[in-house]
Amino acid sequence: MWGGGEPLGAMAAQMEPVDEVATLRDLRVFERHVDMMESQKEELVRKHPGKWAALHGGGVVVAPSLTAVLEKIDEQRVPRSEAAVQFLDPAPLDMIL
Amino acid sequence: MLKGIFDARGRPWIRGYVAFPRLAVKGFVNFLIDTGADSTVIHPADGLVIGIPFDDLDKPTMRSGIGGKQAYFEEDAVIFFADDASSLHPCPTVVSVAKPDVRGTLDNTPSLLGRPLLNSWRMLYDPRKGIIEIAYE
Repeated sequence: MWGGGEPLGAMAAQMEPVDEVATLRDLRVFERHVDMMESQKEELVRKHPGKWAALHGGGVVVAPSLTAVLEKIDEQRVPRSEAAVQFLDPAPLDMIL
Repeated sequence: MLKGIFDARGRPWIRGYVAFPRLAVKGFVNFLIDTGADSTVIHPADGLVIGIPFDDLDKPTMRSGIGGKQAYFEEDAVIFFADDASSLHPCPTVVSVAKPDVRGTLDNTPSLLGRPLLNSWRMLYDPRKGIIEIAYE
């Protein structure tokens, strides 16, 4: 368990303990989903331009809006934060942040 | 050592687990590594995905981006990154959170890992070899 002490200081008292083993495992799952989304993105954009997609362990869901895609994930009882969620932009602009 | 990744367009990313103690919210976020960002930022899509209660944010601040001024909300957070020894490295920081708006202005904008954290790291950035390696103390 990772739950407190240095270097978190005062925040440690507020924070629920983090299960290091489970979080690492879930982080790897999330990374895998993001990587899979990246590799499938071109095809998804071709099939569903202008929509939102979420990729998780059970597959891909597509919906017209971000909130709609999140509702679909919730309906499937998938933890939202394990899903890779992206807008399928048919004409992505260069970003200048 | 932490590792980042380049996407197909050559953008540098690092995945983390963000915890907001006051809000009791946790979740995974794919951060764009941005040495030009004065803050670490969670934009609306990631905020919605991890379930940030936007109405509970109470420290407004203005930030300036390429699209003009925008309201953000500061929140204490801990971002955990996985290192190559398979342990979690906790990074306490302040995160600026953007609320969604009706126009969806920032919906498609990635969350950013800015200099407040990057300045405490030493980063090997080699896109030709596809390497982003980060050492921390």
